[in-house]
Amino acid sequence: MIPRIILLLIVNIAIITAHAQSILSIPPDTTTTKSSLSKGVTLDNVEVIGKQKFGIESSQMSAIQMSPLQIKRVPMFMGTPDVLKVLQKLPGVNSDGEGTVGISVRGGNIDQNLITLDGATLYNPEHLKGYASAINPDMIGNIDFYRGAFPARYGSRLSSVIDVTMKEGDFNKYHANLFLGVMSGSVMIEGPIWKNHTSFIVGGRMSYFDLIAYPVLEKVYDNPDKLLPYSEMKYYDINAKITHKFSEYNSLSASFYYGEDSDNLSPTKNDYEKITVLRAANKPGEFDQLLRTLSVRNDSTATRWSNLCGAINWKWDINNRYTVSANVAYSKYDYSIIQQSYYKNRAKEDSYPEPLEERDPYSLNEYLHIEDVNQDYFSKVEEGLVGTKLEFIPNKKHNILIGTEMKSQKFTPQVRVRNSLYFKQLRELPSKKRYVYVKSNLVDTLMGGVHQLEQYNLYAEDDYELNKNIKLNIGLRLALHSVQSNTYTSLEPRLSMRWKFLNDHALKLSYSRMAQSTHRLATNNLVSTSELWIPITKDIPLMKSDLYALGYVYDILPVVTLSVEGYYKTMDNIIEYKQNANYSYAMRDWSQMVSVGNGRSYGVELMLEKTTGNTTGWVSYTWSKALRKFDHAGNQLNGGKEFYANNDCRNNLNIMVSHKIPLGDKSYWELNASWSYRTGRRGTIPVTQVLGGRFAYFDGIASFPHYSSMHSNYLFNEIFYHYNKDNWHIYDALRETITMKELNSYVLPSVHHLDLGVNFGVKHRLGESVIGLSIYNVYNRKNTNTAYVGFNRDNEIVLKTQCPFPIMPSISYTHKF
Amino acid sequence: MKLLYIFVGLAMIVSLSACEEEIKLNKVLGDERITVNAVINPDTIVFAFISEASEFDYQSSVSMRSNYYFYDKITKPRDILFYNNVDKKKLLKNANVELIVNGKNEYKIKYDSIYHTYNSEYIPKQGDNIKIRVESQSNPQSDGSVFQLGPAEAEVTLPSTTPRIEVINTEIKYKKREYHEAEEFNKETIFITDLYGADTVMTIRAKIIDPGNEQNYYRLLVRSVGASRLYAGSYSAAFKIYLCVDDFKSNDLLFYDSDLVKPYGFIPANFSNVFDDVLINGKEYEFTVETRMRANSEITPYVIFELQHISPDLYYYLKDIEMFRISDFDLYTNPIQIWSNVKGGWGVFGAMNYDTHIIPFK
Repeated sequence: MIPRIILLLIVNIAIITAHAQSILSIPPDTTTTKSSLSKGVTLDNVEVIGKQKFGIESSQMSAIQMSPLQIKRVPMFMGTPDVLKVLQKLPGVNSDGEGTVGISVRGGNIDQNLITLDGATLYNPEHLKGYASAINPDMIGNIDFYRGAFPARYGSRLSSVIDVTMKEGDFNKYHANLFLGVMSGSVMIEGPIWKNHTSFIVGGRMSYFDLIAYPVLEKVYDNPDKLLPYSEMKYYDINAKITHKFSEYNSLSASFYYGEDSDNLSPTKNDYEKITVLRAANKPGEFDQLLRTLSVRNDSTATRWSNLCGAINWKWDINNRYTVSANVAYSKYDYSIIQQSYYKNRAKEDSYPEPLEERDPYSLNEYLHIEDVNQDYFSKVEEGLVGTKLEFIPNKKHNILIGTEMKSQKFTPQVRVRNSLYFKQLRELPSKKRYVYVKSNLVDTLMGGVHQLEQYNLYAEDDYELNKNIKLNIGLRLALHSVQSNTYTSLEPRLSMRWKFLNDHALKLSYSRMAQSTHRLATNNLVSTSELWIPITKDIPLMKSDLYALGYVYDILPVVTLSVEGYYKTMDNIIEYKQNANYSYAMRDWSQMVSVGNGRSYGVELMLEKTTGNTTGWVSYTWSKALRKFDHAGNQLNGGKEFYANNDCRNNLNIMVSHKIPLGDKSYWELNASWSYRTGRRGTIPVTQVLGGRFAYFDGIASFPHYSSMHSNYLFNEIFYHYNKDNWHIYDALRETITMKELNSYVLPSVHHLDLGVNFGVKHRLGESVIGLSIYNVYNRKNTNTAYVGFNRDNEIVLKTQCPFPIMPSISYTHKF
Repeated sequence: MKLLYIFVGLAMIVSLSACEEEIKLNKVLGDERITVNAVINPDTIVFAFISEASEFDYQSSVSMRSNYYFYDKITKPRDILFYNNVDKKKLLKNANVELIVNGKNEYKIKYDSIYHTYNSEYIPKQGDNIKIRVESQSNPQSDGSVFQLGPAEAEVTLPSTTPRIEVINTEIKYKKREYHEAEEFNKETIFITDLYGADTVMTIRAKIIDPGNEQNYYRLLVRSVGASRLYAGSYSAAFKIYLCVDDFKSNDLLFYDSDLVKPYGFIPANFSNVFDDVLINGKEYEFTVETRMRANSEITPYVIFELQHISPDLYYYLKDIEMFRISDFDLYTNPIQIWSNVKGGWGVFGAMNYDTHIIPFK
């Protein structure tokens, strides 16, 4: 959509030859403006800063536009600028976990965020399991982030839209940008192919931690095993865009993105050996009877995924009133996680120290059990999209947009279970006979299939200025989702309104109905996660949400804005795994292991920001609640009662300040600081043992009353029992149950950290160099995002948590020319 | 440059010193530790089993539990099967337990050290609303404070109608009994399945009459009872033992439960004798079950065939227990929350009415 009103445009022009500052005032309703410079004058880093696109003048609320410059100012993990981590610092946005890039917006799930690169869907925005994001900041033109009040042109996700426009290459000159950080590096080159007509931009990033840092650290680090997870973490991505201008008003661009990741986050190896004296020697010449037990356990969780996005966009400004555009996009997401758990238990009765060959063969009692359990998850999504848009401005009061979209998606969610079992028992009998029992078993099953989903969308919206104070964006989207011979229809009204009741004060309100036909089905514990992208089915209906928001905007100063928003959101037909869902023995499709339920969330968000000048930054605060309810008969979770979602986050506060100190024309210092505080992540930890669970099954206890059957207590005067093949299993499992009060009732400790960064930039004859030093988590807060149940040295039960990011200084170097 | 290398190296070392933190879990459980397990019925007094919930105390993480389990299997003595394994430390023997019947009559109930239950003098009646309230005895602490668990409260209404089941016919058949494969390799150390089961089975054709007035929850008990003589060293020490198995089989959809994906003991996968009336609401529904005859040297074997009309809380509890007992408790498995209607505590306070038929095995 063309930015329609630019009330004030300030152009800071830093001219190398003769620096000066010019202020150009551009009248309202201007859509395009031209400004020429004298011959021989070159501009470096022209920053065009206007009133915010979604500020007080706009009918839009719950949205923000971010530039690459804003993103690069935020001090980051390992000094690498990260788009999604910056978004996590905005109001209404919560992180999926400390250090990760997954975002949850206004209580929605991670899969409810639509991320597009020039219109192509990016299914997984992560690199290095979330430590970095897949969006290369060097390649970004702009990011429009909507967390509510969605215009009708956007759909197919419930909670947010991150619309990334990739940067166009320079049509006149070649430039390059080289970045070297501790963990990764990047390079970007842009320039003309056909001067003034065709340009290109290519960028690539690669992590080299495994190639450089790991071999060095392995030699100096006292516990190299702890480095194992890092040794297999790697990623790379490539972005490219070619833009051709047929004329000043007619352009065609082709964008490409490919990124690939691999890691193994839990390569662990545990050996355990124990010798127990079964019977001590009674007299000289005898030896202790021993039981030697050996346990070996090896675990591995190897993940690999790739994103491919391609898009062709054509845009023609026919005249000042009509603009047409069309786009074709293709996305492919390929994910696999191979989880292996190998364990071997060996127990052997033994007399020490006789060598094996001298032992009485009948004294051996031996038990050997080897199990190799593999669960492999494969999730592939392919998506093709064709869309057209027509925008026209019939008069000064209306700006109308009409569009259509056709989308075809193919999902291949599959789980392969491979279990092999080897069991051997040697037993000595009083009759001096030996019995040997060997059993082996192999299971290899692939579950899941291919699902096709078609979508047809038609939308229209009008940005309507009713009068000087009231402005509206009214829209309607009709979406048809066709799957398994079923078609779900979704009529989605959208409304966003601004009432500017004083010159610098405005009230805004909005309503959006959204629908989503895809889910990311993920395990919900605090330890491990796997994901399957799946479509709706005839049994899992379309996911829908209704979002109501009310906001207040106050321009305290021309460049300082305060906004406060409150929201209430309901979500229908969200899904979660059922209790006891497990692929390894269930041998059934994912669709049989999910419950369908509802969710709601509400909260208040505050944002104070200063966007221009040498000192910029923002303060954002969110108070929110996110709840879920799964009460459909037979598919209840949490007993059908409402419970907190695992992304529920009560308080989220972020402060970000950046200050630039120019040192003459050729160098500058830039100081950045950021402090974040967030309530800890929620999760389910069943650690309560409760006696009970034996009702009426007579399975081995003679004297204990079966209290549910007391009416039959005439039987209790006699002894009775029975055997069955799994008696010992039953004995342990039935006597006590392990449970918890509520799902997601455990809250990990709050997460907070202070991050500092300083950049020194200098211009020289080879271009510009920037050396950056950043310190993540300056006061070394031990923040956690995963936990598992374990025991401490005193054998007390504890939650063991990993703090992946203690104080982390890093250095980086950037060279531009 | 040397300084730069040192700095980068140090930075990377620090950044990789990812730490492990331990968080104590005491606060997770807090004082809500009282566990109430009781199922009331109109034939007898109330027996309440009161215990104390504890933190998970297996000396391994959940994911390692199966390893240790197997060690138990070969190191524990065989007679552990007959040992009452209730952890006595977890029993609450001096709790204040009271019943409030229909909101007015209060009964204190007392601990029975033989059965480890709290037994009332009151016998519930159909339609009674019974509330149980439990508090542990207050224990003065060295710092002057008083430690007391609870109160834990639960409430249940005994169904006012008796369920109806009619036996239409029975048939005795010969069917060779099945052995566990382990029997083939070691009769001396491994138990065989259904040791006292005979090669005779009975099929029972029956009809449930569901009143259809409200959502009803049922459990079908098919208990095959026999008796034998157990020789304990000498003939004079021999005594009669009853042998009971609640094992029955049916292919009827009534007993199908898609969530029970694994067999459990003698119970096959996808089979549950706990069901609701979704299929049979307001109908007369016929079905067939099959049960096996027990040893018959001392008595004429018989089958207790009983339809239990259970309270909703007991239904949900039993469903969770059925799922719990087949769970693997590993990282690949979603955890199970056991249903509880005890406020401020754990367990279940349920109720049942029943319609019982005794069918001789002949």
